[in-house]
Amino acid sequence: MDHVTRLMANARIALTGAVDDAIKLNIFKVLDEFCRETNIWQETIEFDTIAGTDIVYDLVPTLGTILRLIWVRQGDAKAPAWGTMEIPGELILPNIYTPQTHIYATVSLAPTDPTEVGTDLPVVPDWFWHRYFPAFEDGLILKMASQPEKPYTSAGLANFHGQRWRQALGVARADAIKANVADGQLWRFPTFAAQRTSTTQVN
Amino acid sequence: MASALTTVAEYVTAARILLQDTYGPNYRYPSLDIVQALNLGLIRARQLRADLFILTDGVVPFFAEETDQPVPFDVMYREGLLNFIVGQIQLRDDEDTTDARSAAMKNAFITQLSVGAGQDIGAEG
Repeated sequence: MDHVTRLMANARIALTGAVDDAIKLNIFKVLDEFCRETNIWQETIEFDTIAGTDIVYDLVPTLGTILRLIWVRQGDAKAPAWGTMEIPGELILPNIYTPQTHIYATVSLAPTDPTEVGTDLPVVPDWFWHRYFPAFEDGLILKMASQPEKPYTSAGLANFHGQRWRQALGVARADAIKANVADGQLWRFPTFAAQRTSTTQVN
Repeated sequence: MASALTTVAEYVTAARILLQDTYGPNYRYPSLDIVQALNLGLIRARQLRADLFILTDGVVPFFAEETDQPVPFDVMYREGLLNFIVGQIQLRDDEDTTDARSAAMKNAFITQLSVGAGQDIGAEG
């Protein structure tokens, strides 16, 4: 049984009377929100600048649609570089690179909207399912159970799974920042200095 | 004849069983009226459950006659739609018992679609 089939089977058990098309529609919403909230799906797109011509480059990911620019690096040493992306997918470099330079642009992605409503499912990396399957189940039940006037409407169920869903979003957000390294953030700001206080009177 | 309520004709046949109107060709309730009740039921279902019409982009199917045309309606809710058809048809009869039965069947349809799947005519009527 593949992951989506299992997810739908679990959802059918929890959500009495839910139709498959509605479940599929909400699976897209869950995966889309998960990516938008966490930046967990990232891809590094590599390209060579065209010497002396332009500062704007269109980035095309392998899968999904671009949300945000995470990093820009340049050259063999992958030295940090500067760049912006006012329009998702359109990388603007600070200047015209001469000579030609190899650029690494890391972007965050969201799943592409299925082409045909209800019949297609969004494509996300396979490792998503292994790592976050329970979170997707929580998100799906939350979104279905919180719909009004359905046989499967349940404020209690929505509340329970909503808490778990928000918790999972926080974990995934941290995973993205720490690049999935366990205990990656060992240092924290000391509590004795946590409050912003000023001893200097400014007149 | 047993059926899974997949076509317009199957809905008409199943409705006639509950209406005790199975001896043709001179039926008490014309086939076209039952088809019209089916159309009204689908419109009501669209109001109650838009998610049942995702595949048709929210468009409610309309049927002009009793045919073997498939009715695109989720299998879980076909019995509810049949209850609506029978209830709608019986609205024309003005006996007190039929009025109550008509209301019970239409309420059962609404309950099955919007609140719970376990509601029965016997429990309400």
